[in-house]
Amino acid sequence: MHFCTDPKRIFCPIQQDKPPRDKPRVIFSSLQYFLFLPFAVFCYWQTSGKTRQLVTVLASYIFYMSWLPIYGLLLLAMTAANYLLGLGIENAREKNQKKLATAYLILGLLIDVGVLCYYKYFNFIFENAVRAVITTSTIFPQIHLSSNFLHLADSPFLSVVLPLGISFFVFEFVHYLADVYRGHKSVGSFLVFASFAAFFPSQIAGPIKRYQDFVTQFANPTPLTLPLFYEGASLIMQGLFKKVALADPLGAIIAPSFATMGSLSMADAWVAAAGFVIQVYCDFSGYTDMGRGSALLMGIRLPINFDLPLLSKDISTLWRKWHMSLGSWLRDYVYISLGGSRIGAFGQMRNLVITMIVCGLWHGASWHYILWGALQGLGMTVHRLWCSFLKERPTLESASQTVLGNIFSAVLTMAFVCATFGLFRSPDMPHALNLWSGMAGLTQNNAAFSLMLPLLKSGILPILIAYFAFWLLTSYLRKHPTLLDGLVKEPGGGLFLNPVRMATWTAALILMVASKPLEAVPFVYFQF
Amino acid sequence: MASLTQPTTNKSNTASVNDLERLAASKKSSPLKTLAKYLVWQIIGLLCVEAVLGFAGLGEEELFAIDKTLGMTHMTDKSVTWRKEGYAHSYLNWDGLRESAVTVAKPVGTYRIALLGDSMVEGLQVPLEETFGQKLEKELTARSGKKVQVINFGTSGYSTVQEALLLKSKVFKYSPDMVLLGYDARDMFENWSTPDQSLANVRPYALKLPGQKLVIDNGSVTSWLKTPRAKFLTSIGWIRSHSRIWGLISAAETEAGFHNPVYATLMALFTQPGKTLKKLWKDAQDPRSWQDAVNGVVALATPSFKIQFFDKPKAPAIKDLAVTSETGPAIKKDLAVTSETGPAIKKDLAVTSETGPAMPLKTEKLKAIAAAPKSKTIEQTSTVADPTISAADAAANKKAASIFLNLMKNTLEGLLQDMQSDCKKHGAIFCVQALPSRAILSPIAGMDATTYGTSYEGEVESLHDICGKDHIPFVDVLHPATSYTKKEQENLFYSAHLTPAGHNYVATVLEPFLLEQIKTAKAQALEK
Repeated sequence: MHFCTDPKRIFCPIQQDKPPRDKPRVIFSSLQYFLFLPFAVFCYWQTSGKTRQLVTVLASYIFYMSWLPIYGLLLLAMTAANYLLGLGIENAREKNQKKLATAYLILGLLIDVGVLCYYKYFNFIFENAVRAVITTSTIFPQIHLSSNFLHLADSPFLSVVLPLGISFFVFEFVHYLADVYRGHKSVGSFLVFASFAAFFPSQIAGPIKRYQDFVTQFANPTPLTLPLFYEGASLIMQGLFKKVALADPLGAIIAPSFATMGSLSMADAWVAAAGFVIQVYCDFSGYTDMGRGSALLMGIRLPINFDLPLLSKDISTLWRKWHMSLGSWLRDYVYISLGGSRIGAFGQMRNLVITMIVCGLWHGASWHYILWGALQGLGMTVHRLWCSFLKERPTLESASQTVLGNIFSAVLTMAFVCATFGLFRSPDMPHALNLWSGMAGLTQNNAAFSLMLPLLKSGILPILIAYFAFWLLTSYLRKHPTLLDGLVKEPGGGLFLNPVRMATWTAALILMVASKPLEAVPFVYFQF
Repeated sequence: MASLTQPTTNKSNTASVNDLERLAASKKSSPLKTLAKYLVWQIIGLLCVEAVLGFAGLGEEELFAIDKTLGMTHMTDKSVTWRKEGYAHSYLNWDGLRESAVTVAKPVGTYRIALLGDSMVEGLQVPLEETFGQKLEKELTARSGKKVQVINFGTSGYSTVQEALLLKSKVFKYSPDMVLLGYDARDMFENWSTPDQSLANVRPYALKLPGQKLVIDNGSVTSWLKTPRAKFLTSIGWIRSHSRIWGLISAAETEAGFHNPVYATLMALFTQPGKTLKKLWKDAQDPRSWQDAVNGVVALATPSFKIQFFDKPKAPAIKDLAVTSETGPAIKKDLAVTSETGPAIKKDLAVTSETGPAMPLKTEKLKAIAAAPKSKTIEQTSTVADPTISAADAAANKKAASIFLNLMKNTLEGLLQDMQSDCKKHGAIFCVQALPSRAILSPIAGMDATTYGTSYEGEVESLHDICGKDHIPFVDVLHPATSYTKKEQENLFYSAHLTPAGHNYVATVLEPFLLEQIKTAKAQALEK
């Protein structure tokens, strides 16, 4: 969000702040990670008890601090604060000091949400506040803004760099404090709690863990047998493939459509929007797969985050299957706290919209995220109304459940998702409106389908189709006994992997290299 | 073997017994059988990847076959999908030509024009119909009243000497009525280039000393053919012409591999395992080589991601988005890029692959230097002022450069005279065109466009003089574009080669010249 009302352009409030330091040095799809992970896993299994806890904490902090070391201190400080507050709440609860427990909870929430708000939303709030002041001053010329104020607005102190993964670990802290308040047992050991907070597989992009699950598994992780190793390694490979071979090239191809303010043809707009949906799905689910695979190598099963959301027939189902750990967190700590579905239809809808607005805000500090969240909430509300509408019309209901009806529902849901996710991806509202006018076919001239050449050139479509076909095949084989069971389900001899699996890995690696974009382009990366 | 230590029920006892039996059974199968199974599945996997790559048009940029005389020629019966600049599918027929329907025997009443040149003439970046050759064919047939057929013998990386040899070995077979040679930047220097790792730089030498006859020597080719790399490429000839996976490897080599020490080591390991292992063992004693190795591995494998935050507007990024390999300056400023990817980059290669002497030397020594591996003295022949070289050395370098330049001009003249007399013998007219070059029309900022003290314009001037002296019809396709607007000039080129607009331009400039030649030929034929 950048604006400049000073005609002489002596200053522009909230300059595009100095670019945040580049990528974290150890992200999952980098070589460094594949040197770091085996070493970390090795140390993990070679130790036990407290040493193992220490190893986990150290590895996680090394991973985190490879980006900006100073924020490791932030994480440590917040971990310590929440740990102590958790013990405090439990103590107070056991002694029936409800008020004290509540006080601790509120303090914890203030710290956690406060830190999150500061880093995430300060710029946004400040910008909008300054904008409001300046607008007021232009409307009422009697108000003179002092030059000090103007200089303050321009101060570099006020452009903050977002700590990596802050949205995830803050939410995990909130969940911890809330659950302890609600009666669950707190975590006694600081090392265990620190491992929970910083656990490197889920540190940067989730899934948002539940501490009860984690602590139980951490105390007694599944031993690293060969099948577990294959499962973990396969997940990592799958995630890597989805990210490198599918998400990144797609991102490169569709990026210009979101950056342009020129008119987009209908084909361009829809391909860009749908491309983004596929990109973000592959990117995020790929990243989650790598995280879950890494955790499996340490004997810990993290919650799944995606369950084929894009095949959903309605928006509510989609949100139950997309970023599931965030969805359940929002349900447990926002929706239910607001009253959930217990306060009547209107209240329920209001809670839904509020929850989804929070979801939007969680992704970033911008009006178009808020709008996006509101639209999701509205969509879900409309769906609920439609469901109750259908209940009174059994013939229509059965029609909607036929194959054709299901396909129609899925297509409609996907169209809604494309339109709203297009908003999500756009850098700001004007670009989003440009995209939407393209999607609605409201472009003035007959703009050419400019994405066709990059799509063909990248060769992404055959790879995408091949992956989809492969996925269909493996899902089928997994669920139904076939003649190939002997080949594909055997664990392999000795140290070596199943030959079929190894062949698929070779194929995946080659395709990952093949689909690397030829140009250097910006990629979407979640930094929340 | 966790199942043995955990308490088990009867059911899982039987299960574990079954597992043991199965494990024992699998151990019974011989290691050879297991290895065979892995290999079979790997091959199946690779074949599937080849199929996907085929649909996607990836890995189809390998087009050189090794040739004893010429160094390299087009492969035959090969699909080529060019993605580096532009995007075009081509098919090289049984004789390595893109024009699939052309017969060796010239149809009665047809006027055949043969185009010689390098990648600028070859035009693989655009579909065949968009090349200037095909455009000319259409226009000339319409305007001259004769059936005109244009055959494109352009080959990436060709020097004038290779074009002369190709003329003798292949072009005259097709009974052309006119041979049009396209001169491109630095062609005259390529007549004296040392081969390196890239097949594209394997060329015969040519030299015409003042007062002496033209000497064409393919000793460099024959000695290159004896190198381990050449033997390796020859041995995998079938794979080179059929495998797209190899196409990817080859493209990766071209982009980054040749000068990367890790890649070089891997290739050496593959082609000369014994010698390389010995050398590696020796190197391993030196701790510094470990540091270099790690750096090399990291450089090779670190993906070039750029992070784009959702909630920060992308104003700076939009500029970056506009930079693609099509329009932007070379993101790849590596030395490893081969000579056909652009004049400026060619210059770097020219510095390493040409053996301009640092000091004035007698001709025998000149030949000796040409035969020797590239040495440090080559860098000193740069015409850019180097503060570490004394004034006397700089003057000596300048003098040496001008001597070398004159030798190359003389050689070029000799080659053109040779081709002219050859054409006369075969009843064809020999013409020369100076192709447009990005170095003059839309130069990449910051890159030195001179070689041995002369720019491409200087080369064209020399060419013009030579053609004037020897009565070779000459057309300058460079200068008409110098009066175009900057935008128009930019539109003529991808990062180095001609866009469809560029080809259009060349066709437009050549048309009147060629019409004139055809009419003259017609008149002369009538006289006879």
